[in-house]
Amino acid sequence: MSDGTRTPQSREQQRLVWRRLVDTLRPQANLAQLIVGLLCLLLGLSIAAQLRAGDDSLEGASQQELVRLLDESGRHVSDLEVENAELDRTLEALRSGREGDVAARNAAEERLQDLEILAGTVPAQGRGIVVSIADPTGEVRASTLLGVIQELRNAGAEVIQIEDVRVIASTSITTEPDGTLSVDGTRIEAPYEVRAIGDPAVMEPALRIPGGAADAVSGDGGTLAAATEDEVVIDAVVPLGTPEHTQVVK
Amino acid sequence: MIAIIGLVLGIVLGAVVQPDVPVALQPYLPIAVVAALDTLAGGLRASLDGAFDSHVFITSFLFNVLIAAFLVFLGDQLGVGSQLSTAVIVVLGIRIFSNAAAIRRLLFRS
Repeated sequence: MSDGTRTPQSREQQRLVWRRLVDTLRPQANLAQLIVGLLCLLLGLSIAAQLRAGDDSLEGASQQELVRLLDESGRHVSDLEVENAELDRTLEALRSGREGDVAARNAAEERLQDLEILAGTVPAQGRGIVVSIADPTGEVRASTLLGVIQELRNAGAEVIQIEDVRVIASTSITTEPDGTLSVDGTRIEAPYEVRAIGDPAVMEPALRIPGGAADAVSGDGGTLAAATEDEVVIDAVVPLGTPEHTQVVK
Repeated sequence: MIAIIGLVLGIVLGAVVQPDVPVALQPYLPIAVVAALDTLAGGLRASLDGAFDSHVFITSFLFNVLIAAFLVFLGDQLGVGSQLSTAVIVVLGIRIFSNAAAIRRLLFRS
């Protein structure tokens, strides 16, 4: 576009051009220059505004760019949703696993309680009967007392205690040389009190079967009285021994 | 001189006040700025040629800005906004370069 412009040929012409430049730069307070200055001020203002507005990255983005951004964010969202679903599944698995653990622990605790009661290592209470065997003549034999215990067991007694001794699987009833009875090595004095937890409606008639435990006690010269109680407390316990030779079969 | 003072003053004012560009004008402002820069370069060249006329400068300034903005607006309406903006920018850029080249030749001869 240099058609209207003549390149200066001589030194004088060059000097003229420079003088024009100086003239142009010299302030001239006429209306036209003022308007030019005003326009330039507007231009500077809009340049500054545009530079600041350019910070918004999405403003100047083209349609393709916007579509690409949208696609990207959509992909990102779906990725995050997949991840969310995965984490949800993991959470669910962990929660159900914990529930399983809790159930197993509850079952184990219940089982532990049952076994503790069976082994006689913890006190117990519940519905049952209290059997009182009077022995005025001192002739009730160990086998007779054992018969009473067996009869109670047959009738479904869950926990039995003679005097202050807990009756467990290995309990022995023996006769001492002087004729007194001892349970697991502990001497007991008449009248003997046997406490049993179980169904009273079954245990009491079981003792009174003709030719049964009650009759055997009577045959030995004693008397047997059974009383049903709603709250039989059995507080005697046996210490738990550690098996020395036995191992659990896996 | 007043033009340069106005330009600097405008930039400083814009940086200080931080005016918000109206949303309706946002697509046109960059093009208008480039058009104005082109007019400025043309005005400088004309004044070095000794052919500067402030009336011509003022009218061409306003006209260039308005036409550039209108072209962008038209492109937006026709659905070729970005392409037409590019075209306007290219043309204005070529004009700025050629004006700058003319000014350089006037001042330095070689």
